[in-house]
Order: sequence, then structure tokens, then C-alpha cells
Amino acid sequence: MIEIEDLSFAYRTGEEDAIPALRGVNLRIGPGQFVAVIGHNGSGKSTLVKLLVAVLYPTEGRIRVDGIPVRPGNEWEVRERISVVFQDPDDQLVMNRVADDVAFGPENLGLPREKIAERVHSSLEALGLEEMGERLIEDLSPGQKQRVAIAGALAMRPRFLVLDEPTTLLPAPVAARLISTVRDLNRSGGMGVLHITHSMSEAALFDRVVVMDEGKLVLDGTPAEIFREVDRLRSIGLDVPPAVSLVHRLRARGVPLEGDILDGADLRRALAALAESPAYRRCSG
Amino acid sequence: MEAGTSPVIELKNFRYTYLEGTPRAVEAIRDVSLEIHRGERVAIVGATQSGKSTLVDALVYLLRLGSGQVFYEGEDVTAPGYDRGKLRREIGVVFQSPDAQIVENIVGADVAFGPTAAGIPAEETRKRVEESLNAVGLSYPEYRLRYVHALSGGQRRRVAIAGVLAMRTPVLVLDEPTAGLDPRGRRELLDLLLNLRKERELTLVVCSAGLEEASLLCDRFVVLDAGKVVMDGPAREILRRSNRLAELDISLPETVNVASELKKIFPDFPTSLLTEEELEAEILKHLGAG
Amino acid sequence: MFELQRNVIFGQFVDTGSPVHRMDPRLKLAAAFVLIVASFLIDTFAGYALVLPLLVLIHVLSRVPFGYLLRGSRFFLGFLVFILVFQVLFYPGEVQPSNVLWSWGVLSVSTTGIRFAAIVGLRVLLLYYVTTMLMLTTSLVDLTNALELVFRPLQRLRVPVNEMVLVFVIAIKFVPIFIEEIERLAKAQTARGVPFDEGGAIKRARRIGRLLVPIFISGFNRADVLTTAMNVRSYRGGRGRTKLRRMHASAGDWTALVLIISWVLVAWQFPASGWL
Repeated sequence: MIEIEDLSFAYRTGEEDAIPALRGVNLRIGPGQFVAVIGHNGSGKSTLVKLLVAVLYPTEGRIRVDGIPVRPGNEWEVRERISVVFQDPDDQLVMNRVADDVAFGPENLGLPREKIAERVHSSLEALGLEEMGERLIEDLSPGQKQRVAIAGALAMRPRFLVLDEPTTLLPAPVAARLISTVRDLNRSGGMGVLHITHSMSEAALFDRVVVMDEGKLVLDGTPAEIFREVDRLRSIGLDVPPAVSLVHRLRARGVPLEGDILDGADLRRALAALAESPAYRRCSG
Repeated sequence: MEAGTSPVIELKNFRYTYLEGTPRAVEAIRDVSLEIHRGERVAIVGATQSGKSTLVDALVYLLRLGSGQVFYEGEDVTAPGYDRGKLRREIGVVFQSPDAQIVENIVGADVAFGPTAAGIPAEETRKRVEESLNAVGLSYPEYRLRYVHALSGGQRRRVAIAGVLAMRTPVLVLDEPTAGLDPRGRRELLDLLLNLRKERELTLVVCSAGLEEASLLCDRFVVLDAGKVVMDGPAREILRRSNRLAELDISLPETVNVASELKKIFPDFPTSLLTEEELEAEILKHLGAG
Repeated sequence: MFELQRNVIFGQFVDTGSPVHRMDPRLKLAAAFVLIVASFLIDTFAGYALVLPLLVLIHVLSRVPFGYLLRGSRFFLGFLVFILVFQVLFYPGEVQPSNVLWSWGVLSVSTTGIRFAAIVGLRVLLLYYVTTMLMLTTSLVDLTNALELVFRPLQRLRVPVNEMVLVFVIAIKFVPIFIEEIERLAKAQTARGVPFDEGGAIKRARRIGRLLVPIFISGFNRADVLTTAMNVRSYRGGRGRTKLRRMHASAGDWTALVLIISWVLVAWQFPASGWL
């Protein structure tokens, strides 16, 4: 469980006024939840990540991870529970061989050799990299490198995995496969996932979407609930998935589409249902 | 492509191996022949490591050109004595990372860099800087003295574009123009590019890993895979081969994905739709027809 | 400039899976150390001639393409020749007048000077070759583990050995990444009219100066992310760390080390013993 209460944070810039990055955020994320965080650049998402792993500490308010308060002195306990994957794998991978890098975290925990080997093996397997342990990271594609980074995070056996815009540099189909692998990990291992993204279509794949704007949490709900707020999202520099935008237009034109529609398949089902409905038959017949 | 007009840019049997002669050599381009005509808007599309960035580099001679030829306006750019400087004043390139191509710390100075280096008189340069900054939506009086590194990623990308616009190149090349931008930044940049496309007589080359932006900005797609051209033709025709594109890890515009879904219930539903408006009209048509 | 990576080999690791790559990293480091010491001890042409077959043997076994090594050493070799020419011209030692071939003011060329510069050149070449080959054939983890062991005694003096070794290894890891970045910057700036591919050496060097600010900014950002990433992965210094890789010195590795030591001893002592 991640509990965030009245969290504020300001970057200190010397003697001058502090720059507020987060203002009064309240958020609870239960174990095993699958959550996307969206917000424009500078909305405070990355600051939130740094606070969650005790790289920064709250200016005001509280964060607790599985009951452990994030404050100086507790950072190592917190970091055993939350792992983070960043945008560019080149910046976060430490060693040059796949297995060596995945082992870096468990080695830091001081685990016995057999335990490390087992974790490396199972993490690589979970990411579909079981054949790649001895490969050099520089020879891998960007998508594979990002998988190595996730395997490294997974080897820490965290309760929560935080993904800080890991798909920004990947082509959409590669990103989609990555998200689907993370979904499997979330389902099978009960590990909570917090995915930060600029892609509205990606956010629609999560169970819950949290929207940030100017350091505040402005919306929180299921993708269906969130993407109903088309105008609100656009006014804060975000958007809705293209299918949602299309449905918005169609409804405005009087097409009575039923239910929550987030992607093409949903739209197909809704249109098929509409074509079957008596009302539609009456008016077109 | 009308017969008779000669291409602006032409690649003939072009090949290129990155880091040739090292254990890390990569055959980036294997035998590409390509013609781009004046006024065309071409997207060069391919997954990572398909060779698209190498192709961009080749256009402005940023490679050790080996096998094959590259022509600009009929002249072989590899010929001894060819003026590469002139080539780079004719083809403007906006690279993926704005930070790589911004050479000055102050916005106005950076935009003026190209024209000044090309020997354009100061007064004319000033005019161009003003015009280019305004064209990318950064108002000249407000931004010209700003410090580049204090701007946001989206704004820096605009400065980079302004720096290229100030050169008034007849050919504009954009490498992954919206990669990494948030939804607002992306939308604003697309509007800006659509505007430029409308207002100027540009030959436009857009390099991209997916077809979302490409389908809005370009009407011809050249699809690369492992250093070879595997498809080349009008955008709508290429979009019809969605299965092949998916195999190549090239993302399709969401309109095409939605249309493909709808084809399952409306068998005659066209899939190569480029805009939301087209898709909407088509759905209304199908509903109306029952 | 656009393919800097062809010309700078520093920090590269070429994985051919050869016996040299597989050698126990501790013994490999020891062998490298022996050869480095040899470069200080050996001061005769005959000595270096005796070492040469050993290096050829190591190189053939390593399966690292020699052409690649040579091209990647271009900058270094150019610099070395430049220095050696100065060595000859300004040779400070005493020279028999009969040995002077040419002189002009303070500048002179003498056989004594040439001989001296040639020995210095051979020393530096051996030193360079050994360290470069060590990096080309040793993965970062192996290098880390071996260096940590070798410098472990310094821990008693409160030197943070493990941390320093990791910093060194990460620096090596970032070299190719930075070189790629310099390539990218040079291309982008050339496209804007800063011609990196034209002009003489001094003009080129001045243009490279322009790249320093963006490279510094990007380096700073990368270091920031890396530090955070390492902390998040519970890195808190070397204390209490365990290792996945087990180091294993085979009989072959020991034989190789003994062979190298004896070979160096012969190359050092044999020419001096008056047989040559």
C-alpha cells in the first residue's frame, strides 16, 4: 500500500523563492493495483517518483510505503519495496552484460550467490530474455534494453514497480508489447504498477488513471471515467485516446452509442449493438 | 510524379555500413534507390535500426559516402569539389534532439546562426529571425533574448525549427518531429507544421517510426526494413497493407486501427482513412445506409 | 568526425569468447601488470623483439581484429609520433659528436637521440597495447571484481576501493555513449553550417570546443539519472555486496600467467647477459 497524504514539495533554488512542484497531493494505491499517471511536462509526475523512492523528501505531508514513512533514515527499507525504471535505459544500466546488470540490485542487497542467480534467471524469464543473459547490452534494440532495465527492477522483488516514461523512446507496437508483459507480471505476481506516460492510448490499458496538473492531482478514476472528461483533459494540455475523441464527435452528432468506449474494438461492439437495436432499425428502416 | 521533371533528390544504389571495418559494423543501408521530386511530401518510415536516420544523414552528406550516388538537383554530391556547404543551405534538417543542433545560448542568436554563417547581411538576418520565430509561435520580442537552456523541450524544438526556417531552404527534413513531446506539445507542433506546409512551397521529408504524424503531414510513404525500401507509394495505398506494416513494427494511425475494427461489421468499410473527420463521415454514412 | 567510434577504441569491449576473454580476471589483471612492469624494465631492442612473439600469440588467441585495433589507435599513434619527434630533436643527454647526423641551433638529430626515443616509443606502445587489450577482452563485471581484489589492501588505509573501482568502470561504460553523442552533435551542427568535416586541424579543434557545453549538460543529466537509478537499486557502496559471478582460475590460466612471467624475465635478462 502506498499512502500519500497532503504531500507538497518545493525545489529550493538558493536564497530565492522555492519552486513548488507538488501541492497537497492525496493518493492511496493498494497492493497489486495497475495505475497510469498522466500529466503534461512539468506537472509534477517525475517529482512524485523521486519522492516515492526517497531520493527527495516531502516538504510537507507524508508518504508511507507498506507502512514505512518516507523520511531520511528509512530510504533503504523504502527502496526494497519500490523499484523504478526510467526513460533511457542507457542512463540506468550499470554493467555491459545482461545478466550482470540484472544481478546488480540483488548483489547490493547482499544476497547469497544462489539466490542472486535464481532471481536473475526468473526475472529474465519473466521479460522473455532467458536466452540473452550473456549478451552485451549495447547490441540489443531499445525495446530489449528497456526489458533488461525492467528485469533489473524485478530482481529486487518489489511490492511496487514505478515506470517513469519508459515507453517514450519506443515505437508504439514495441511499447504495447512491453505494457502487456508488465500487465502479466502484475497479474501473476501481485506487484503494483505505477506507469507514467504521455500516451493516452497506453493509459487506457490500465485499471486506474491518475491525472496531474500543476503539481496537483486533478482526476482519479477508471479510464472510462477519466476519458469522459474530454474538455477538461484538453484544457490541461492532455488528450483522450483517438477512439474516445471519435465517439465524442459521433455522440455530438446524435449517434446514441451506449457504454464506455476506449478503443476500436469497443466502438465496433457498440456500433454492432446499435445496428441490432430496435430504435436504430426503426429510424433507418 | 510527372514525367519530364527531374528529381530534387535522388539516391542511386546507395549503400552504407556504419563503423565499417570494426567488429561492430552495421549494414545500415543496403542498396536504396529513391527519387524525391520538388513539392513532394514524403515520409520515410521504419522501425528502429531500419536505416531511416542514416538516409537523412546521406541527404545532406553527413556520412562517409561510399557505394552508390546521391544527387541534389542532378549534381552528384560526392563529386570532388562539390560544395557541401551549399547543399546544407538548400536542405534544412531538424534532428530528433533539438539540443544537438542548437549552437548558441540565446534564442535569437541561435536562429541567426545559419543565415550569418551563410553570409546573409545583418538586416536581412534580423528580419528572418523575427519571421521564423513568429512562424514557430515564439513571439520575437518576447523570446529573442531568452536563454535556450531555460526553455521547455517543446520550446527548444521550436527554436531548432526556427533556426532551420531562417535558412529558407527549399527542402525541409524532419527527423521524428514529435518524439517525446507531451500531448499538448505534440498537437501544437503538428498544427505548426501543417501550417508551414500550407503556406510555403516546401519539399518535405519526414522521418518516423510510426505513421501517425506521417499520415497527417505527408502523402507519399517510403517504408524501410533492414536498410531496404520495402514499400513506396501514395500514403493511402500503403496504409491498405496494414498487416505487412504491423509485421514491420510500424505503428498505424489510430484512425486506421479503428477502421480495421469496423471493417469486421461493415465489410465494405475503407481502412485507409487519415483523419478523424474522414472516419466520422464514413461511420455516419454506414449508419445512414443501414 | 562522423564516425568517431571507428577511430577511438578506448572503453570498447569486443566479445569474441576467446581464451583470453575467458581467462580468470584476477590472473589476467596480474598478467597485464607483469607486462606493464616489463615495459619499465626492458630497455633493449632485443628485449622488445623477444616480447613481440608473446604479444602476437596473445593477439591471435584473443581473435580481436588487428585492423580494428590499429584504426582505433590512430589518434594515439599520431600523438605518439609527434611526441617522439620532439624527443629526438630536443634530446637532452650527452651525444658524441660523431653520432650527430644533423643540427640547427638547439635542435639536433643524433643516433643516440633516435635510439633513446625509439626505446621510449616501444615502452609506451607496450603499455598502451596491454591496457587496451585488457579492456577489449574483459567485461565490466570481470574488470570490477578483479580490480576490487587487487586494490583490497588499500581498504585498510580507508581508501573507498569498491566505490572508486565502480566509478572507473562506469566511466569506461560511458565512453562509447559519449562518443556516439559527439557524433550526433557534430552531424547536427554540420547540417546547420558548422563544417566539422572541412578545414585544418586547428579549425576542427576549435569547432569541437563548441560541443563541450552540450556534452557537459547531457553528461550531467545522465549522471544524475544514473545515481538515482543506482540508489533505487539499493546501491550503498561496496560494503555488504555479494557477487553473482564466481571467479575460477583454471590450470590453464595459471600456466598462462607463469609463461608470461618467465617470458618477460627472459626478455629482460637475456639481452643483458651478453648473448646478443
